[in-house]
Amino acid sequence: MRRLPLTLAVAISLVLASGCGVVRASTTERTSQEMLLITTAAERAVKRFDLASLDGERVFLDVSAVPAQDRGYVVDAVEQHLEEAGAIQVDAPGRAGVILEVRSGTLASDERRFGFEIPLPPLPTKLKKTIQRTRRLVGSDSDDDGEDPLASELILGFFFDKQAGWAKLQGFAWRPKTGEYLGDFEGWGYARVGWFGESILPEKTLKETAESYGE
Amino acid sequence: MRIRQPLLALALVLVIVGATGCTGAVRETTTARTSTEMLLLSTATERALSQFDPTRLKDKVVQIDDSHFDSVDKNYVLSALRNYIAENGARLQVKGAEGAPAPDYVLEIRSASLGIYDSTFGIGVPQLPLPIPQTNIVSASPPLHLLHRAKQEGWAKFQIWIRHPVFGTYIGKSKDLWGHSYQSVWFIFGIGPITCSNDIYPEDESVYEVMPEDHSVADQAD
Repeated sequence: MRRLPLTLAVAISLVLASGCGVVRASTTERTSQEMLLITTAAERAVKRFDLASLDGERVFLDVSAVPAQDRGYVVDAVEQHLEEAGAIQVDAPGRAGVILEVRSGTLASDERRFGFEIPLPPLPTKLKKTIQRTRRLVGSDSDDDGEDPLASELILGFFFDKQAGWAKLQGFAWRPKTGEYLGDFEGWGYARVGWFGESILPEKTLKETAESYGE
Repeated sequence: MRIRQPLLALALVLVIVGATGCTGAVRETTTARTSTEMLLLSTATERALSQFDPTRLKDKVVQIDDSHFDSVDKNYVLSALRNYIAENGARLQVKGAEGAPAPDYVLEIRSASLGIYDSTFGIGVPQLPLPIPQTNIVSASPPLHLLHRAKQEGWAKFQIWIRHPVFGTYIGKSKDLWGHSYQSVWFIFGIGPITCSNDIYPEDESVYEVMPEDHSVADQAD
């Protein structure tokens, strides 16, 4: 048993000296994957709106009921869809023949981890402190995000991660002059990454896509 | 003893490596709320509003007073209410619009509840204290659930008053408008989450799974 502390010390030194590489997930508020999930879902939901009846109408788009974070993207997507439907957009409700009010039942992402996993017990506090002290001594305790790397638990098992973007956009159209109701619509959008594939990237490779823009 | 020592050392190394932060991680959602939570609330809202009897509002000019209503989902609720009453014959008006007719009725909405309720149920071994031999350190064993259900419910309760627009006098009120939605996920022998039942997603998966047609100019050119 006398050789155990020595073995342990050597093992700890090796781990500390190994300079574990870390790729930072994102420096933006949200990762690109999450943004793509949400915008792709939003785009698909908007494409399901049947706006054919607004052909030739002067339309004011009211999106005040869409959460501010992704409102800009939804506005652009709906505006494009309106133009494709033949509507003429105006920037004030007073000048509009029709007000199109859009709201979102959801516009966000969900994460799922499916599988079998057993989280192992957390490290004993004494051992944690020893490791932290040793790391500080050798200067490898370089986390600048304030997170305790030892706080993560070891997990045994086998699992798949899945991230999904969901959009449920609804809306209705009415005439502001008479208050007449014209109709409502609903569009669902879904995009995913994980488990067995993804649905946010172009079917072509990124290189082919870039080349097609160059043509 | 010679066999046990390296095994013990190896186990310790594994634990240390696991604790150094080298393991992979998936960033949790950074949207303020998950899509499930938003769907639970918006679905409960829709169901609550559909309880409102709008017969009295047919062909009347209606204004909505939201001064007594506050919620994270306020904009959604108000828009859904406007949609519902317009669909049932009420005439909406643009707030503060020049030359707009005076409303016949003012609808005052208030919310008794619009939130999420989480509950769990499980059979198995809960987290137990785990003393480490030959030390005075006590750790904890992981919970081992044979069967575990996590249920999230969305609850909405609204009330609507109808007032005269000039005198503010009482004209009528709705019954209590209740809306409920739920989603359950199960873990069976530690495997999951398995979504067994919910009433927030469309039953017909083609509503969201099938890609919508693309009518963009670029595609038409192709």
